[in-house]
Amino acid sequence: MSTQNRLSGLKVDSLRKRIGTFTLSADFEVLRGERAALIGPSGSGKTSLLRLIAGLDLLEATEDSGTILLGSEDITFTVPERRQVGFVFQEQALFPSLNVMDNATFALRMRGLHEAERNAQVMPWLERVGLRDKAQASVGILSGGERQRVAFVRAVVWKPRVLLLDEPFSALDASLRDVLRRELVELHRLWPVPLLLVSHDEKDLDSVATRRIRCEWDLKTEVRRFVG
Amino acid sequence: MPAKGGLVKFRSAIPLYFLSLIPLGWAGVDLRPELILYTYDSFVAKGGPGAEILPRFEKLCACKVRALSAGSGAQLIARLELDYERAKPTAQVVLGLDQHLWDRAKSYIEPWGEWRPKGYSGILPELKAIPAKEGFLPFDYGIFAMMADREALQELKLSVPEKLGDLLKGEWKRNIILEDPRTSTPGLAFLLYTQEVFGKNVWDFWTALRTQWLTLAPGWDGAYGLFLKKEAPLVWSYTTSQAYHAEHGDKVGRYQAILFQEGQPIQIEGAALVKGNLSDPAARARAQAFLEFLISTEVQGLLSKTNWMLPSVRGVALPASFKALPQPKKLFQIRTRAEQVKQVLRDWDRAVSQAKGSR
Amino acid sequence: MRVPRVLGWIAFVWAMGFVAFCLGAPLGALLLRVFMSSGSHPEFVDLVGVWTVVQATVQQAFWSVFFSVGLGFPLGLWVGTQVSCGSRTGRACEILLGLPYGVPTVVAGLTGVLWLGRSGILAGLGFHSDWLYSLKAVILAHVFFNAPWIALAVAQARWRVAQDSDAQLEAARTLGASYGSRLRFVIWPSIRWPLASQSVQVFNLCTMSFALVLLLGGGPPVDTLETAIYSHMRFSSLDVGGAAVFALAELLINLVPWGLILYFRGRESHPVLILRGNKPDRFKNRGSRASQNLMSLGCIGACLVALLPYSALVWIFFKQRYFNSDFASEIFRPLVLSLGLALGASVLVTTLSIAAVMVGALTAKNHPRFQGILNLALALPSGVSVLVLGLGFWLAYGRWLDPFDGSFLAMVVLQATLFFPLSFRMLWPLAEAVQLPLLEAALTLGASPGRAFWLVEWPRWRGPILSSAAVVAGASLGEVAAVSLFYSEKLIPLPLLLTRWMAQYRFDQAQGLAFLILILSAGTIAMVKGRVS
Repeated sequence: MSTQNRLSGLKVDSLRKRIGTFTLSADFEVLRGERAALIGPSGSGKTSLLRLIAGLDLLEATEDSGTILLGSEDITFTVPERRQVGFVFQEQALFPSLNVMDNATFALRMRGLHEAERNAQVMPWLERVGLRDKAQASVGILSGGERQRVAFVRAVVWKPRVLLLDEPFSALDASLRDVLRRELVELHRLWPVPLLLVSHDEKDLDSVATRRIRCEWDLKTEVRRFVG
Repeated sequence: MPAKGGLVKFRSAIPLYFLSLIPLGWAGVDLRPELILYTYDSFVAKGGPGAEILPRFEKLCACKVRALSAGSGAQLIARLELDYERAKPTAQVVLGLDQHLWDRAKSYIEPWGEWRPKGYSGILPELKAIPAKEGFLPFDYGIFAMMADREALQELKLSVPEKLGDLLKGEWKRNIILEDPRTSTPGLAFLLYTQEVFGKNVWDFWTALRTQWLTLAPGWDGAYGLFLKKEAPLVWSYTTSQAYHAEHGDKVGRYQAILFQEGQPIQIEGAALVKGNLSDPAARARAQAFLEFLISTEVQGLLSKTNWMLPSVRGVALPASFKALPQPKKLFQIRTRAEQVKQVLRDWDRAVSQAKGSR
Repeated sequence: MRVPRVLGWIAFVWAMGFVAFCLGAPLGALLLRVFMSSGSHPEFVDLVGVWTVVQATVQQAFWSVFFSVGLGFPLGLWVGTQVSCGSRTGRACEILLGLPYGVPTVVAGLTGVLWLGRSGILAGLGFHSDWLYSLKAVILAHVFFNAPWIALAVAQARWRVAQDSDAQLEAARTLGASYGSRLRFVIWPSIRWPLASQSVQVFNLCTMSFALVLLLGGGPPVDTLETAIYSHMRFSSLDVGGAAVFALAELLINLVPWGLILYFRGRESHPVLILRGNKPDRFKNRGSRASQNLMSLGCIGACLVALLPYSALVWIFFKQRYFNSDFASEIFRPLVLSLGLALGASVLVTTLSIAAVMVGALTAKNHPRFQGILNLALALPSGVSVLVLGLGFWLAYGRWLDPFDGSFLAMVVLQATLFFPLSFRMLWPLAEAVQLPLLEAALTLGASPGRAFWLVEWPRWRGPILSSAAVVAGASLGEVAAVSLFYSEKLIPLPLLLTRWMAQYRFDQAQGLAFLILILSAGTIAMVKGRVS
């Protein structure tokens, strides 16, 4: 797969998914190099939308509809392990049994790269976020900011086709957030795939996002619609 | 408040209520002198001989018999031994030791000296292997024998074995149920019996026997249970098992005791006086009277059908099922010393578990 | 968070008191006896003999554990993945997998004969096998006994993974991990220790298995150390020295695996990362409802397999009518006693293990070495033969409690000692996942430490505590060895009545009683577990 092909846009096309009492609807596109923010009140389905794009939740064939496209490829029903989506979880979800390096290289390992090769690829990224010296440390001893950095590196280092971030800064203090925002933008410049971010923080939106996708909440029909 | 007052009154009434019970409780206390007896479990169990015999003795001596059951015969000794160590002898009489345990028990037993229980002379001579002065009173005995399920024998087209050596024949392969000599008395008796019969060649016999037995059950009950489930047509038990089945509906003689040409080993069950708690002459007299009572014709008759053992004295009226039991030509009254048993078991273990080849 | 000092001390004294009185004193008295008697009776120890028995015991236990894990691990993983923890199916599976633990060994042996025996059910159907009365039969019986127990531990650990590490599983998926990789990197690290400790527990049970080995093993060379210990105490004039050699071998065999687990676990720094509150269950794609139901049914069916053999008993029980007024009147007292014993043992064990778990949790941070020693000491009862421990009780406390008169208290205490490690291992994972942030939150909101614990932690502890109590009660109902050391004519619990009946040719009634014990012990486990989970 050529780099050109990998760096294609993410398109969510007329997606409709029934979730409990409401219907989640989405229709937007995020181009390569773009950083889009999903904006909406709590419970509007932002995280659910990310999970659908990542394949962690799937559309039900009978009651849901729509497609998710990466470039020209329809990934609506692809299992998450084949989607090549970089996901940064709100709670980071680092593997406690693995050290920093092994966490960061996890995806490369899953793709069959040898240890030396993996480490060589990851080291520059760790160096960039200041974790070179802690590469062999257990993730349990890291600070909150360091963990978040590992989570970033882990999500991006294997060159996924799209990056999804679920409130990545929510657990950090304000000054650290600023630093990490800059780092995130920097990392994204190195690998400018479509990036989709969920956040409540206006500052995130100002300093990270290049575009906003808002939720239109129709109280009558209980449809929550993301368009951008 | 009146309600509270009522509660207080009620509370103070509780101790009064209990106080009023004291005279009632006092009336229930038995003031009769006591004879304390150690015995094995099935003696005192419901349906066992204790329930029939002990009340009769209580009437006779105007005393109360407290029978404490100690599990198996071997556990009796452990208890005597611990009593002795604690310097707190409890029992006056111990009932249910057999000749294999006697050597271990002796140090906790009061020898008779010149005294002999009334009726001792009537005891079968073959049961008197242990000298009278040591203080062992044989009160019943059992003849060990293979029990056969004739129905199963017929189905498997097996002929009845006639001598011990027949058990090694190919047709008996995995067709015999035995007890483990390390954990059960009948099992040990079988081992000692084979030693008596084969002498030096006993371990050859056992090495060959390994392929013949189906299993070595931990105890007689386990073995006999398997036998009744038709797991094998032959089990090591007592001749009186035949009488039991005859009394319980076996009209056609399906279950039969089989005797070997070499003769049969016996288990002699005995009673004895326990050292250390007989200083009171009245207590001693009661304990001695109990021993005499055990070999009285009345009790001997009762023992057979409640304990499924044979009476130790001559001329006791027996039920027909007992009279029909086969009579062995020869009885082995094997007596062993504790050290000897240990050695035999060790040798047996080596012969059986360390021998090459699988079963 | 500061746990009130007093509470910590009470727990410490309670747990240490247990170690001192129920393990230290009896084993000490035994050792004293060995040394005192070794001077007067130099005991020849047949080392070759010991070695042969050790080999046979370890071989049997190893294969039993091997097959139990081989069957139990995938089953537990399957159940833990396919069925969700709180669901009705999940509860049913938990109960079913817990039941075999309440089966008395006598009943298990009997069932083996009923099925595999020469006149057994399978033979009746035309499947003649030569399995019974061999090592294979012993292993088979042990596997039926223990595989569900392994599966239960694995399923529960898997459920904890789903609860605590759901995000990690999802992260692994987005990073491209296949099922195998997720198993290896996320699930396995969380379930390997529960699996290891459960396997060691099963290993302990198998090395100390006695009646089952003798009944189904067909005699030497299929042998067990317990037989050797028993024969030394039985015939050889309380040859404690001889018995002690075998007991020591048994202790070593059983404690070495525990030591290894503690050592390797201690070496591995395995910090608990983030302790989150339970997430609300997200909607999940689990396939269609029909396939879901099919899965649930499949899981329940698989869990039922281990219980299948006992159905033969049910059939026999109803074919022959045992229940008459005689039967009922004879079992009444023993029944009451057995129930009392089960209640006493489970209450004692549970309070002890809560205390021990608390001590372990409190000392984890500042005294890791002490904690290690405590852990090993508390594993001790799973390596000591009941016979040895019972004899130790006699020697240590014979002065005060008269074994001849029977002692309810001694029965309770001895059983509690035996079953303690079981309950301790069931509760220990709780201490390792104390949700400090939540407790602290409760404290800042004005709750007293006790109340904070009650509100935040107790809901998490309640289930495991009650189910460990239930398992202990169930096991107590079928336990023979400890009670046979301290019973008297007035204190005869059901399992002893069973052996007594068998000694009186009352085999049919004994079978009825065996079934009753099975129903009681399994029923206790089912009832309590059904309520709590």
